[in-house]
Amino acid sequence: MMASTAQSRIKSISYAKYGYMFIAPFFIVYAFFQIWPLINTFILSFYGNGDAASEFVGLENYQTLLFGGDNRRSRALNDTFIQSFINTVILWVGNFIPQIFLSLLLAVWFTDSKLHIPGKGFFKVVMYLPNIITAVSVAALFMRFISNSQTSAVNIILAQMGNEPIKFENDPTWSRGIVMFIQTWMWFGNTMIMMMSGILGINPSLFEAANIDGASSGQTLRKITLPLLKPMVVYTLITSMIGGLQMFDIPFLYHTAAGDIKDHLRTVAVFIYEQFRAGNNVHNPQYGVAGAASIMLFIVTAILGIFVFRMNRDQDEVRKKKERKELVKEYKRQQKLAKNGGLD
Amino acid sequence: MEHVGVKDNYMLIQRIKSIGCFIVCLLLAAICLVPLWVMICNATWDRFHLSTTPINFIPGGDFAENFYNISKGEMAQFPDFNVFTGYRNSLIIAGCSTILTVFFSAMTAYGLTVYNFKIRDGAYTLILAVMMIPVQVTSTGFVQFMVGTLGLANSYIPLILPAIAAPAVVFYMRQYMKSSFPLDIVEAARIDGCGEFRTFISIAIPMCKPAIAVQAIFAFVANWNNYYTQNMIILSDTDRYTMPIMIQNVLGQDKHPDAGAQYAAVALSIIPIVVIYLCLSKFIVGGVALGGVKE
Amino acid sequence: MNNLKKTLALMAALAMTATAFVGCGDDDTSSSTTEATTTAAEETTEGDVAEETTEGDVAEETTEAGEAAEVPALGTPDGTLGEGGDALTILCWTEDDLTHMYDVVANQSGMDKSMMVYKNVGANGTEANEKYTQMFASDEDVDLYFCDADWNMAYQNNDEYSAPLSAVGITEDMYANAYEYTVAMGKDSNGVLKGASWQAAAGGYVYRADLAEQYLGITTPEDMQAMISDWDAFWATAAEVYTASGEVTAMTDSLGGVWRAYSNGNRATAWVQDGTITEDNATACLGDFISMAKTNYDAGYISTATQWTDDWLPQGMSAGAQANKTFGFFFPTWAIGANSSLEQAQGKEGTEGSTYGMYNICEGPTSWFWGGSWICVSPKTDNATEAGQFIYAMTVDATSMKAYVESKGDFVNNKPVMAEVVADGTNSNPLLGGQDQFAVLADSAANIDMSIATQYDATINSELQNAVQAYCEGTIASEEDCVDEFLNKLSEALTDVTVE
Repeated sequence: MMASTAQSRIKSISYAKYGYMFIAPFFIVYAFFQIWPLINTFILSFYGNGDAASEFVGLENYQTLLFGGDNRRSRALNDTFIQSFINTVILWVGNFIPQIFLSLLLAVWFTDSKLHIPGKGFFKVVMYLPNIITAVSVAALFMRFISNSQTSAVNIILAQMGNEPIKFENDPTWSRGIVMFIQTWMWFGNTMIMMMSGILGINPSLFEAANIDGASSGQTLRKITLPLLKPMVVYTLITSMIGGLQMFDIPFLYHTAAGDIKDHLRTVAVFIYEQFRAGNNVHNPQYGVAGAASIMLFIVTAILGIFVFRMNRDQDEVRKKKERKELVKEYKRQQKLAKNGGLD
Repeated sequence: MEHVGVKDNYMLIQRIKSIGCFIVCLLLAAICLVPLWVMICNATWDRFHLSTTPINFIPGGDFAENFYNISKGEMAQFPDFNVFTGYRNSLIIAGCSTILTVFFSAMTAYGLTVYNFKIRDGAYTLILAVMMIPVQVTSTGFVQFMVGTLGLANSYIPLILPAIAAPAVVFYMRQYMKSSFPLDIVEAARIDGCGEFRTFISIAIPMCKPAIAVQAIFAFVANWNNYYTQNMIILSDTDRYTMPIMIQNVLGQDKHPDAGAQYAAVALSIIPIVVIYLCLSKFIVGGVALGGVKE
Repeated sequence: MNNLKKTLALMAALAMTATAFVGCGDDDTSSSTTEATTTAAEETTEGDVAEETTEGDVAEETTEAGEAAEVPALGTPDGTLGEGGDALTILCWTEDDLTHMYDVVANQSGMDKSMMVYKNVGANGTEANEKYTQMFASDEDVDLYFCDADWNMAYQNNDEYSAPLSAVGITEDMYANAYEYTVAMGKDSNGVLKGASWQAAAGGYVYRADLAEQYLGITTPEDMQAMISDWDAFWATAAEVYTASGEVTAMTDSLGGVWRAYSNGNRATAWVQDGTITEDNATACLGDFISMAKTNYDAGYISTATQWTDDWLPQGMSAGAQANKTFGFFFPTWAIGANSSLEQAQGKEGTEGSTYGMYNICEGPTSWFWGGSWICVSPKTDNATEAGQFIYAMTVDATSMKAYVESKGDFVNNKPVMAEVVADGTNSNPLLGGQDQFAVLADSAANIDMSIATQYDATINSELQNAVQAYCEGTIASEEDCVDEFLNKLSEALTDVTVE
């Protein structure tokens, strides 16, 4: 292993320029379409809102969002922002837990050679199906099934049974539950496929060996599948977390009356969108507040990301890096010594 | 199968387990399918029927009427709704984006895996870092830059070109290449006198097909479903409306509440993509599984 | 200012050579009868240059309903705007009116009907505002656009979005026969005329005549009006209706409807004063609305449906999930003509549960109005001439406006025309069983006062309705919290207004 690494290192010297060529398009496009907008957002977060957009206000937007202030506007924005953050966490946890549970369970079942589930292929296809559907259509569909509207399916049935119609959007438990259900419904098939391709990526000879050694399904799962699946679970966790923090479509669309976004469904993403978008609900674009909220969302994501990234880091690489660091240190020390020696 | 008592017992347990799993799967499949089936059936009933029987499992005969109400009729319910325009536009955006995403992500991942150069680790760390950035973080600056500074409102450029840089896909591809793409092959190719770019195209890409297939599906779906970005860029040109924006406009149409027409509009937005998916599903799901086993 | 003077001088000169002399009371008059009137042209110049005095002048010039004042013919564009575009593109959020306008405009101006195209932003009335902003941000080809009363000021006050009407040959003295408030609302903060309205949006109470007879024994709109002449009487009648219907039928369609009637009928001050909304002023504006709404909502006299949702209009039918849920709607003139909300609420004639033609209209507990649309010119237009022709035909020319009344059944912004229509007695609205809604609403229209309107009213109305709806439904605990929530949301939404 060490030999081949060394070999490739020697060989790759003349090929380094290809490395740059291969990764150049990515970084050029990324800088133009993402990095600059990010910097732009950062700059905007220090400027005023609405008509006062050109006025430098320093950290005022951050202060307003995090701690409120002595006027009504600051307090209201603070409340809304904090609430939107809480909403985001609740909605994400509420859809991630059932989603990862279902998809892991199904992935393990579907890849277990000892289980004979008829129609496996059919199930996989059907369970992935909701994910292929546009979120807006899904929202529209569920709005017709269950919403504030008295003409939504559930309310019509309730009325026929002699009950009062329920305004499902107005009740935090109902509406959050519905949004969580829709999110799980849409995403568990997707996660399941990711998990399955992870399990199938595990060298089948390992399973064969375990089988020959007479390991039970449970043992195989605990000793082989789950540990080897860890990177895949972590990957899913990262992507789902990023997805969760930007949860937008369903919470944004799940309301009947125009512009009446519910306080208990407003996620951070919806909050930001409302702020930078000029319109009826927010009269003038509030780039400052939107920018500050974006940057805070960025910081939270980064902290979570680093945490997960550390968990995921492959141990080999850590050791190699340490060794390299040691080498560099050693080299520098010797250089220093030589330098000092020279001077003396 | 050896006929030993213990083995028989074992088989029985496995069989019971299988049946249990099957029932759970059946239930989940029903949860996935029933809403869609009800939607299709409801799209074929008029609003009077729907106001008393809101959930139908049997199709009715009013689809033509509903379709008339959502197409450009005399009193068109949703004047801006034209499924075919929506399909065409969404296909253009999602198709181009997907190709760009998988190709350039594979290329970037290949560059990061195969070559050793000074900024490699830094570049990879950067990609890992930016992977965490949600699109909402940059959207304020993005819209201002694209629409305000560059005047690209209604243009597809801001929707397609950024697909070249998809950090999460690069991350996934690199993971995949690290675990299942032997670098020896590259060396062998070099010895055979194969150019670097050709090695990538003719050896690396075919070998990474399983990963590319998975990522292509996800990229396509993500772009097809993307309402957030599209809605920020495609502001006003109805000819360029994509499917999600059209559906949103149907929902927002307040003056002619007609449940049948709404179901029909939503169904039309869903059915063709579902049909295409079902046709390709064997390839999609099977390809994923096959690719995994091979390596 | 110098530029403006030059422009106006030029215009006056042009007007002298080609001013049409249109007598509005005269049906035969058309814009082809030209007669140069130097005085009219001079008046134009004076009136517009001395902006401060303009309003007073118009008020003096305005005649009593029935006596038509002479208005000048359409002037020529002043050259500041583009010409020669292929099509006159009109931005709107509903094409219901436009489809009736094409013929009217084509007949009056001789413009080819195919010249006129519309772009529907396809959004709720309240969201259209946002869509418009995007349209302008993306440099779409827009020549004319319609603005709602709730937010037209936001566009008229922005020179990037709206050009003075004088630039397309429309002057203020053309509106001598119009309802005063439409002219006042059409001006920007500097008093420049930037929008023209084709309608006067007086509101009334449209009720189910069949249910009135059944529950209250009332057969005429006059008797009905006596039953609901003020809010106290209105709610007392509501109790009767609710009981008689077996606790099914609410007196009114929605909280939003009650708020529109209350807000524009009973409110005395503007929401925003000196860039500030104080709690005291807000409380004064709200009056006893919140407690009135809560009491009657809880009692079942106000329907739980929300305006502009699926629940709202089907309440007007006698079958279906929402059957007979409401006794009547608070509707303005634009909601009771052809292709209107009322038509939608009644359902297609002959279908199950249709209440087609079973409605009547009366003034209701207060004299009020709701909305109205102004036509504005985009500064980026490339059809200045056609834009002027369109506005002239729809908002100035008596003949074509009368044709529009007959086609669409809208209440047009022209007093003599409306007086004539009422006097003729020819208008019979099939949706109202043949009743003439103009006769009922003519007085209300004359009394509309929009001096307390501000450009923030759209946001204020929607935030208030959300807060009160939440209070009525029990999500918000007390009236105090409701006001607090309302003001909080406002403070978030309005950056250029201080909410205390």
